[in-house]
Amino acid sequence: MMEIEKDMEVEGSHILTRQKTPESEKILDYDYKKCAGCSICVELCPKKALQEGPLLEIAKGLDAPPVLIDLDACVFCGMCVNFCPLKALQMTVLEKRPVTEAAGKAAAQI
Amino acid sequence: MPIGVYVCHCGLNIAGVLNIEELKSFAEKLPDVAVARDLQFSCSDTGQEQIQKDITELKLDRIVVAACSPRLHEPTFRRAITKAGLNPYMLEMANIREQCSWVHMDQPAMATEKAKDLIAMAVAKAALLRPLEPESIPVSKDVLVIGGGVAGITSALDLADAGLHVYLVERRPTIGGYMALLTDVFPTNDCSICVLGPKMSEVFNHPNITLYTYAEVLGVEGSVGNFSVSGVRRARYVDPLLCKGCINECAGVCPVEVPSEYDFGIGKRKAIYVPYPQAVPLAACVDPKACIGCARCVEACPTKAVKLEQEPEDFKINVGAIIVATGWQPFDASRKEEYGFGRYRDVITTLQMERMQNASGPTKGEVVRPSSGQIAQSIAFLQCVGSRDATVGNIYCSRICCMASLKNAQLVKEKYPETDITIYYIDIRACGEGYEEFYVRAQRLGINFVRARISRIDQVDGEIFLVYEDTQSSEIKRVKHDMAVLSIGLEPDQNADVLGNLLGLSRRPDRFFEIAHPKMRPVEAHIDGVFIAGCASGPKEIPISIAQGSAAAAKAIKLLHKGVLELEPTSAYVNQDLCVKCKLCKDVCPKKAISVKSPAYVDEAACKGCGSCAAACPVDAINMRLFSDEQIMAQVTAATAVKREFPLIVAFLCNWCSYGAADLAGTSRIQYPTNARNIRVMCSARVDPSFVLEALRMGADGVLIAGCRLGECHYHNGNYQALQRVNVLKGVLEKIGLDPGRVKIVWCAASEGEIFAKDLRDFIFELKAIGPIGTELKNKDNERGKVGKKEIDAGTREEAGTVIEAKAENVAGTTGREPAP
Repeated sequence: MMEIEKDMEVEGSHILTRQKTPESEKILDYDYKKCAGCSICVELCPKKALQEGPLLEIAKGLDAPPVLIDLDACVFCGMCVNFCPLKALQMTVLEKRPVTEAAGKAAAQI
Repeated sequence: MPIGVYVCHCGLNIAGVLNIEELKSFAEKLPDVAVARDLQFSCSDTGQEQIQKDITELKLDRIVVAACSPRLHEPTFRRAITKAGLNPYMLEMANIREQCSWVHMDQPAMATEKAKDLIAMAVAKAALLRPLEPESIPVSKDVLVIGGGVAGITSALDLADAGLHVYLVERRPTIGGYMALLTDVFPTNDCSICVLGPKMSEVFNHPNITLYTYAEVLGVEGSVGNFSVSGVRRARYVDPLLCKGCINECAGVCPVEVPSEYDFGIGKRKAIYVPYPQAVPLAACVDPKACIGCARCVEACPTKAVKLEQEPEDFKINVGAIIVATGWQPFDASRKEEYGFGRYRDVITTLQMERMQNASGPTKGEVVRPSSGQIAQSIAFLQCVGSRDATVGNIYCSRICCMASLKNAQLVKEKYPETDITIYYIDIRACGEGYEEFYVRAQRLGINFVRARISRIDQVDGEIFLVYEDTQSSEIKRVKHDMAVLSIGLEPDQNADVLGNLLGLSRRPDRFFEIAHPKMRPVEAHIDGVFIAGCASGPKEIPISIAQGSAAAAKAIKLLHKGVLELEPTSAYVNQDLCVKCKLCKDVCPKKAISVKSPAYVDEAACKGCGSCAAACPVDAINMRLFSDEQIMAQVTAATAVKREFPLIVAFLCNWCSYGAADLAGTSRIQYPTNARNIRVMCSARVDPSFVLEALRMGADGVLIAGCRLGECHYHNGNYQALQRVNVLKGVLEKIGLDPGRVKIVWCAASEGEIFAKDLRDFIFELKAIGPIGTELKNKDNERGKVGKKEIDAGTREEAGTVIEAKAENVAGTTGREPAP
């Protein structure tokens, strides 16, 4: 089965979540300073990988992300990215090999 | 033109009511009749030989047989006179059995009078018969099989082996149907997929079979021999040519899990899945409702077969015949709320039990309590859940559930001998080869049988209790079991509704597709070139579904193997000198068989002979080869020549439904008054308003037009056209002073003999209220005080006649102009 590696790091206000497979690298970039805590993403995440943070405290001035990401649960489907009204979530996909070429090779092998 | 008339006794079926001697001497005196004879059984060899002998010796060139319905024996007599050297179309039948002796058993004198008219009408028509040659059309030798269950697979393989090309269309991503999901099957307890699997791969690899899985038929046009079928192959999002069916690579990384419909809810599958390991074609399929689009499968697939951008593909094929093998759907057990299916975890259905026992099923063959995962110690089987049950609208027996429960009980008992098993039944129905022995075997294995219909299932502290009356001891009991298996019945597949409508298939009261005859034509539909196999026409065991699949294939081969089809020469033709190019005929033609470039032209292969164009043509430039204007007019004249009773009704019945309904009234011995003189036409749209006006002018008190039920016309919308013409005609009658109620149009299906009889009784009642033809004119004259000394009846009738004649041409031109909605 395909190996999937995941990690997470924080750069300033950006929480970078990464998924690496032999084919691609997907980076989910969550800039929590842009996030207004509307929780649309929490509602629609099909894997329930997103969770509301301490919204009340944040409203009172706590410096914390309004949405928490569960690294194990997230499958990098990108649905949250597509629906975020403030573009606080962004996804970058790095293809290691161009898909078309790979498909062509596979077809040639058959 | 010497005509021979043969009045059949049909044993006592006709002779018991009608005075045959009187009919014979009446027939002898009719114009052109050279000989009239009575025959005991005209359809017997002796009867046919007598007719043939007379043709040779007396040089007869037209034959009238007064006997049963032409729908029954017309082909027999056509063959008989052909052998004697006559053209088969020089035959006319007078239906004095189904539409006379059988329906007027208690009024023999009036029935004999009616029979005289029917014979006179037939002789009058016979005088105008012309020899015709049947048309041959080339047909497609390809066959469409809809449904890839065991019946459809059998049909497809038989056809393909016989050298015909088959398109097998299956709605699901794999063929195999329900049989592929079962564990062992009765009465031999051999493994289901082990016998079906090889057939499934044979279908996949057969050079004569084009397999469309995950596809649906969306349109059917054309008719027997040349159906044009369109449909769509839904997107699997996987290229089946690249997919190797390894499934673990893609499904392993898929993050979405949903209940598997192939395990009936007790197992799970991923959003990308193969229905079961033996699926054909063995290619994955993405469930678009479940997929979240993470594209992990795209990356994981070693052959890059996953194509999330795939689009549905349309297909269009031409076939000569269609076999409908759409199968069944299980009864939804949650509709029997008292059994708690869906609320109590330990209440399951037969199909879930099958999957549990299946080695490739969700429990890998273990029979476990869903609530605990432990092996079940005591199992109850509840028979007749959703069958033989008027409360859910299914009064029929589903035929397979008794045997299925006996089989499941035996399998469990063999695997876990300690398990306590009880089957709660109303009646055990084990009728089939080896079935009773199978039942006895189950009893010997120590399976308990309790004659009871369970009234409810209770769940207390996670344990289920069955409450029932043991009808052998008349005691109310409450018994605990680990698990209850509901033997759910079979229902018609709702997904086949669209297809049924496309093809125009009719349904029985139990909602399964109706076959052409419940005994004699078990795999034919009412529509030519369409066959029905397997559970689409009712619950069936596997062996019978297979037999029907083969039978349907044989029927299709018989139909198509010559590559040509002989058609009845029923078509319309144009007298080009008369045509005024008004294009009315083109607009009303349901088969688009008419083109009007210079004068109108009829494509005789496409024409099905409904005759709507002939009725619509304002200048009578179009006529029919069978049922010509002159022939029908001659019948009308003969029917009204002597007015034998009041009210006298001339009835036009369409060949497909209402004539069939009138025949059925006869076969069912439904009694009704003798007033109607029936004239068979191909479609109610054939009835030219001039026929109606002629009938009234000649003294008929009323005209009845009967067609198929609205929306069920065999020519698409002929009955709507007839309705529209009748509505216009009623207006015309009103204008000329006749009561519009003298013309009535009614609808009845071929199965509605009772409705036909009722409509006729109603019409007679209405006509009695209106009075004899001309009463209205007489009353009008009375009001004006203009009535002279001349004989009133004759005068009014004459007057009515002249007025009708004057208006007749206008009507023909104004009616049927717009095709009905």
